[in-house]
Amino acid sequence: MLSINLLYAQSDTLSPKLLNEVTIQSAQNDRQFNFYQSSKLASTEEILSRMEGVNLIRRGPFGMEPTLRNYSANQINLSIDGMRIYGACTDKMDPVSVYVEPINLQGISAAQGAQGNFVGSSIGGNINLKFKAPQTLCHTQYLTQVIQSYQSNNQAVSTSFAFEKAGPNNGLRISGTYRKANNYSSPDSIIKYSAYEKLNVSVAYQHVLDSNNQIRFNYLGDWGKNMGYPALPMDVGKANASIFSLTHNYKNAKKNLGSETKVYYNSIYHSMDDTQRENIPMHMDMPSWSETKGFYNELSFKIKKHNFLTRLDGHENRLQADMTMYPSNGDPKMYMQTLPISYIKNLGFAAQYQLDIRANYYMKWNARLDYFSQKAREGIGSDQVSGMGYDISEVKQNYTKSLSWVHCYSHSFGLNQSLVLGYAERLPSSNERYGFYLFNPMDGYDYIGNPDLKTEKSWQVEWIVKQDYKKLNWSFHPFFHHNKDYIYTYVLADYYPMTIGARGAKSYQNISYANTMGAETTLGYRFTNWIQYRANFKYLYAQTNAGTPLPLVAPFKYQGALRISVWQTQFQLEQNYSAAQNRINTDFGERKTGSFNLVNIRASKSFTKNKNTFQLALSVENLFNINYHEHLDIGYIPRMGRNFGITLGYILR
Amino acid sequence: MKKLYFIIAAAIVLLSAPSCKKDTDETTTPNNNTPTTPVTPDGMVKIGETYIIGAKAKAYIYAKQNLFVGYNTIYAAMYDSADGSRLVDGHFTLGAEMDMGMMKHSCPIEVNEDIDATTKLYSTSLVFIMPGSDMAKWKLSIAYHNHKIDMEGEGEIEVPVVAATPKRLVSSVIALDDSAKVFVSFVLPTVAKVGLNDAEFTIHKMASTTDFPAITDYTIEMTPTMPSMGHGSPNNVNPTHVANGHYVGKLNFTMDGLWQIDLKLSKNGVLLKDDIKFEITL
Repeated sequence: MLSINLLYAQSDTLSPKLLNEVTIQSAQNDRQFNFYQSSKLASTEEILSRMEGVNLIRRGPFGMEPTLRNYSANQINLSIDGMRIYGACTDKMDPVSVYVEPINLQGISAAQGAQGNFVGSSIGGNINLKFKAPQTLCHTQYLTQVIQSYQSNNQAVSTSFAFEKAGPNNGLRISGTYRKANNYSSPDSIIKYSAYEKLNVSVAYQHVLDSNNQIRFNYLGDWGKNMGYPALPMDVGKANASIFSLTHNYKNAKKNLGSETKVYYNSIYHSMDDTQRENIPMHMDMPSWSETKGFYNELSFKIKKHNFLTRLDGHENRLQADMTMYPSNGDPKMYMQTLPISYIKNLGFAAQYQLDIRANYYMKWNARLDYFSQKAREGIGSDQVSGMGYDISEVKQNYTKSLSWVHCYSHSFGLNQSLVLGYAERLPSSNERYGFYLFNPMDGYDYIGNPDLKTEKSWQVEWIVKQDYKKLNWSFHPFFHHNKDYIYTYVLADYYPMTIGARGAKSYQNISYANTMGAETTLGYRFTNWIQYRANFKYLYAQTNAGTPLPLVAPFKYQGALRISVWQTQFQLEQNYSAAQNRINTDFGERKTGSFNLVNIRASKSFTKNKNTFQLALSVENLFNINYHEHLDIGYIPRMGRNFGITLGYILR
Repeated sequence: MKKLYFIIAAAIVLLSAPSCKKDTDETTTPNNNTPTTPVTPDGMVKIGETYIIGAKAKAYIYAKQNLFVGYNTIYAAMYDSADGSRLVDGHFTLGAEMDMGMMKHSCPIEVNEDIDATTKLYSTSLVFIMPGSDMAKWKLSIAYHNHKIDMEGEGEIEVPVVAATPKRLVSSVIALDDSAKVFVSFVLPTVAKVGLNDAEFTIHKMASTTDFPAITDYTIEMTPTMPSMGHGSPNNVNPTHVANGHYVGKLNFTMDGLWQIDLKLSKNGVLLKDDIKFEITL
């Protein structure tokens, strides 16, 4: 096994992996789409939405927030090429996945629960977006690809390109994407404030020092402009990210020794904007900044049956979010910091030990210890919070610990099972500790942080059974998590809201516990070489100790695809079914969401001439033009109606 | 002429008595021991100066800002009018009178005869209840009992008093309290910051044109709001009476901008007045 990319599994069959990995199709691949990548111009979040255990919280057509099961932003670790990046927006408009395009990526991996803790403490797991590294080959080779697409519904134009030069001593890769879309339409109406525009450029240069050592420089820049968020009272005026990293790789196959060291810096500027909106009571500016510096070193070595992997990492993050309001009657402008200038410093060490007991049986232990210090800078931001009775200029220190134990056994008939027991902790986020009147449009409350929050703890058990046997492959992955000191909201009685029209103020507290359980299932069947079927199923059940369903829990979902290859053309018929969600959290402003059944059709063909390839793909999404929204769509804004798409790809060698 | 005489006299005294240097360092320059106008203390403005005839003293009057309608504290540095030395032993009494031609009246005054040992300044707080004008001027009278020579005297000085923007004083006739004319002044914060601020108000009433006693038995309900947004703030503490008509509480401002502070006054559970408003901009 078993990368879960089953239909197109790479030759990655070394040892059973628990990670879900999606490999982004490279230019050379003739196929225009696969189960995860609906087209070569599918966005990062579209790919994520099809991954096992991943659900997306949607605030606008772009910038959806990936969640692992029902664990969202603060509970999971969303990293880019192993780097810690914190979105700048206090309203979670910029989960860091928004700053990366699939053309920059080698693949996306998701590790659920405590297993994901090797790279950073979290209770929900880890999603890593791995950069595509330039290749080095024994002879020089050039590759240029250009992909263009057009979507009829929102007149979306996307263009991406990649240029690669691979040589014996170095490799260079420049890639980028430009996307521009107008407002989209649901079957009933045009959704206002849903247009967006963004440009992404990435440069990677790899240099071979000697047969064991390589060094790689990466730069990624992403510039978003006028990105609409119909579910929120404001849009994004600008969202700019710069990500720099320098990576050193050492590999000595003879000694079974490997090391990867990275230093990185990233900064994000994000500004919300209401100038496009109508009937706003008062104009306001809400800029925010996030800046992170960090490093990590991963070391792997193997002595006979004993596999060791260690990771030492550290980072420092600075966050700030401001709000300036301009009363229309000429009163003095108003200013506050919705997130006081605050710092997180972290140093962590993780160790993993795998004991290969037999060829088909191993055990793995994973431990991580983190030190965090969090504080706010003295000034207006901390003065504001002092009015709430907290001194946040004092340093808050936390140690988070996590442990997991995996027991993995491969039977005959390609059957494999794993048992995972885990314990994990996570730090309360800056929003949860220091946020100051952050408006949540779902429940209509302003949220004020609670600096005294304790860490959230999670006891976890997961069982994974998989089979890859002849034409059949399937997996079943049930889990149960008992989360202690769960961070949950409560109403601050007698507190005024700040936002005009808000219903009141809320804060966070640790409640006794909340439980999350569910399962992910995949099923694949190869009827013949030209007819294949692939599906995944997700189900979640989560509630507090009082039996209140947790908010933002996706209902049962089925995503299936039937692939037929005839006449050198691939056809794919997709069905996305989502059951109704009736277990809702009304405190959070949730409403019941009905079920829906979505059908998409795709077709693609490639033509090759003189080593150059031309690809054409056509698609119809939401074929029956149904009106629907997903349960995790903030504001329950209807999704896109029927949408025709065309994608053209040129690959020049 | 008087001033010149004073300077010459002081110079002679100082030159012939170098041992006085210590006491007079604030009034002399290091080079020639000539008494000059004292340096205005940091963070204050000079309001005026006057001789206290009879006490052989001269008063230099300061305040933290130009005098305004509302609660002011007036500071005085007393000097020996003959040798220019600082006077620190004596009783100081400050009075205020508004002369409108047809009538005269005083204002609420918090008598304080004693000196602050560290700053060597006398101080008295008072509530100017109306602004001065060309026709009607505020006059401060300063009486001083100079213990050094055991002599008393009085001086007078006209001072400008302007209306404060935003206003720091609300006057109101309270029908339910024997139709008393009541003055509510907004003392603190003078400069507000985001977060918790000390809030202080004084309440006095006019018993006669010369008698303005403190009201000590009101209860205050205080509500800060941002009028542009219509929201308030949590964790405010209603001011309660501390002493001499001073009511102290806490004001929490959650952001910069214009805040409105509404006060409701009650006495023995009876609401007297519910439309007292102050504004402050952060």
